[in-house]
Amino acid sequence: MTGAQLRELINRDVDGDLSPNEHRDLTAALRRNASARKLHAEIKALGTALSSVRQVEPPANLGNRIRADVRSRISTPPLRRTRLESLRALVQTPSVLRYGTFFAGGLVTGALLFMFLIHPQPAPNVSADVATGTLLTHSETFPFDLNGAKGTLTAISTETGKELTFRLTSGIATTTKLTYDASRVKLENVREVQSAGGPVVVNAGVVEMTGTGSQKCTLVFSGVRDSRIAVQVAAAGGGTFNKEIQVH
Amino acid sequence: MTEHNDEDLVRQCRAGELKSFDLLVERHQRAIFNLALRMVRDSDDAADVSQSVFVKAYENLERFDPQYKFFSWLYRIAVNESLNALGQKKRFEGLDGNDLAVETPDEKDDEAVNEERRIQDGLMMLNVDQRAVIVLKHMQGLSYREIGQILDLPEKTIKSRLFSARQTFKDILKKKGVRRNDRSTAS
Repeated sequence: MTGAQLRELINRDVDGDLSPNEHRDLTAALRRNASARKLHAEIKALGTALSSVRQVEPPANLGNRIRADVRSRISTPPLRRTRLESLRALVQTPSVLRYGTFFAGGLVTGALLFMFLIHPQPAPNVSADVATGTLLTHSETFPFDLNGAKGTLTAISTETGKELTFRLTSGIATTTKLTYDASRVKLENVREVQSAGGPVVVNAGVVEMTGTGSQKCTLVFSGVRDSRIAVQVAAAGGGTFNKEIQVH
Repeated sequence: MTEHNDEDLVRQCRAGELKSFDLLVERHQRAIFNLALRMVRDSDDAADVSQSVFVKAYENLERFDPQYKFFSWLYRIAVNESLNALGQKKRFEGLDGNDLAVETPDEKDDEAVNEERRIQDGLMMLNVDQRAVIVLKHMQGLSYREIGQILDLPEKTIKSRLFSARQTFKDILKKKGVRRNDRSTAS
């Protein structure tokens, strides 16, 4: 038996993959070969150590986050009717309904044409720097580059749309300033604060974190829906990153 | 109430029953979170990965081939999403690993926590291909065949990758142990 074959048998034995004959061959080889015995014991110990690593409970709100995200992104079942099936169903409906459907379709098409082609488009109600994704039930990650120091800002919202988590990762010292309209939005609570090396300061309309590496805080609001939160990340050595988070 | 198997739930879900997908989430979120956690290490990232795994699974449910196990397909998405998350992280910040502690359930058991941390540190030093087979084999308890389906590789490749991953991992742990002893004698 070559060394490679022996190593394979040892590994497969740890995985319980040997036939009785192979097991007999391995036992005989181990009896003769001290270094193979050592390897066998080491691989076995490694397998035991790895398998004994405990399972970690996921965050309590993970299930809700997933369910809410699925519902927010997809309003119809994953297997929608094919176009042919829809057409067939439409043709089989009574004529009043059929003509009604065509009429309604025409109205919608006309309205869309008016909105997008004929009617002048209003100026977008967001600045170029505004994140426009629906943040109510999912998360958005925004990369930034502060004078060569790269990092990410992640905004995560829960099902209720009240709880927003901001996470910042970067390799440099930064101050993160979250500003919201305090006349409309009330900050109920600040929790899960993890700010490496710096304080978290809460004032009316402003939450400020300072730290290096990663920063995280969860803000519990009331009245935050349809509002914006301005986030500014300022590097200690100069340079700022600005992002407005739109909460739908 | 009758316990539906995954395949029944997938079928119901494809017929538009969103509640059936909720049951799939309930059933698999722990395993997916743990798989992601061992791959990416940070629990916030693992939660994000888990979330996008289930969203992608739902969005692509019509592509799921029922001849395979649903969990294999889910694990496959989870491995890919974990790799994406690691890639993104590497691009934007560079992994220094200092602030990325795994949260374990019982912090009182220091010895076990230290051992798990040592194992997790070692895992992060493997390349992602090796890490994936180690995690799937030892932490998810899957067979060579199931791992092959998840990673879309022949069983033979899985075996040789697993065996070399173990060898590397063993060497890493040995080196870490030596380094730790050096530090303790120096201080």
